[in-house]
Amino acid sequence: MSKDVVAMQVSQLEALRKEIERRAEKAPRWNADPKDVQKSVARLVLALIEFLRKLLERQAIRRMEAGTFTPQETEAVGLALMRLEETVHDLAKRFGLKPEDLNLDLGPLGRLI
Amino acid sequence: MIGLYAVVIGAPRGALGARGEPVRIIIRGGLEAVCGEPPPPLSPEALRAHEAAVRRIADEAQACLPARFGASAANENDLLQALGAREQELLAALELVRGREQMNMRVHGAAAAPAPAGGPGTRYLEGRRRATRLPELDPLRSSLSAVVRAERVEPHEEAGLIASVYHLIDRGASADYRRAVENAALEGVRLSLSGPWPPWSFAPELSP
Repeated sequence: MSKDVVAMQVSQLEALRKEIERRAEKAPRWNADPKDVQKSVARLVLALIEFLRKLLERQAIRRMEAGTFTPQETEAVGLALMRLEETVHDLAKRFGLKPEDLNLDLGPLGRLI
Repeated sequence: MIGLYAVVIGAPRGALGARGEPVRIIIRGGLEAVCGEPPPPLSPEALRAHEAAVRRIADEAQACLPARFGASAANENDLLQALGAREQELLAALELVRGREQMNMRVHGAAAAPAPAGGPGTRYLEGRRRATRLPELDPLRSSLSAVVRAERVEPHEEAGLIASVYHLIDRGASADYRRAVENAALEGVRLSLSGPWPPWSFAPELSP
């Protein structure tokens, strides 16, 4: 892995940490409606899963382009990513969340994925 | 409450904010935050006034990261803290946009169907690759390589609109950029351009 890629992932993880911190500050307190609490926890957890899924997807695309996947590997990874996306979207719908609710705001690096 | 227009290097002297107020520069390390009155309620006029103020600031500054409409801080201390926490990230972003501006390109057409080869997983991954890499634009990319300094692709789901592509170019290079785009022969896609704009798509979120 090149140094640039490592540096990008480090700054991305740092941005992720800040975003979580920011959200935690805004999270409802003990006196909030339990349903709201449940929804905001679900939103954060699903957003994190979606973030990791996109990161893995981007890595898979890079490997596909570099030709370091066998056709079987491409198929298996593609299928796994596709199913994970379906699961995340199904769960989001159940909590009344739209796909754009799962976007983490990570600044310019975040938007690269 | 303080409204934020942009974080810059080389803030212009005597610039005016969205409501004609003289802006105030708040400095933290190498960062200069261009501030003004708290943002008014959202309206088309208020948005346009914000955009115009940002443009005036961007035109004069050496490097400018525009803040979205509504970006504000409770007080100077909060703003300084927010800037300090993100100093490295903001300085890196400022270096990227120094002396540069942005062109927006909307890519219209039907998204090319992924090659039918392979199983559903392979087709899925190939579809994603095409959506994020836009290989349809490759012939154009080679003729733009002398002008474009960075690219950001935002895929769309709407019918007929494949993606928005944001290109960072040197200030003053927009005529060369437009010429290269107009002369490109691309199959199956139609492009519409706007710009130059301040580098909105290359700025981190600036709402502290």
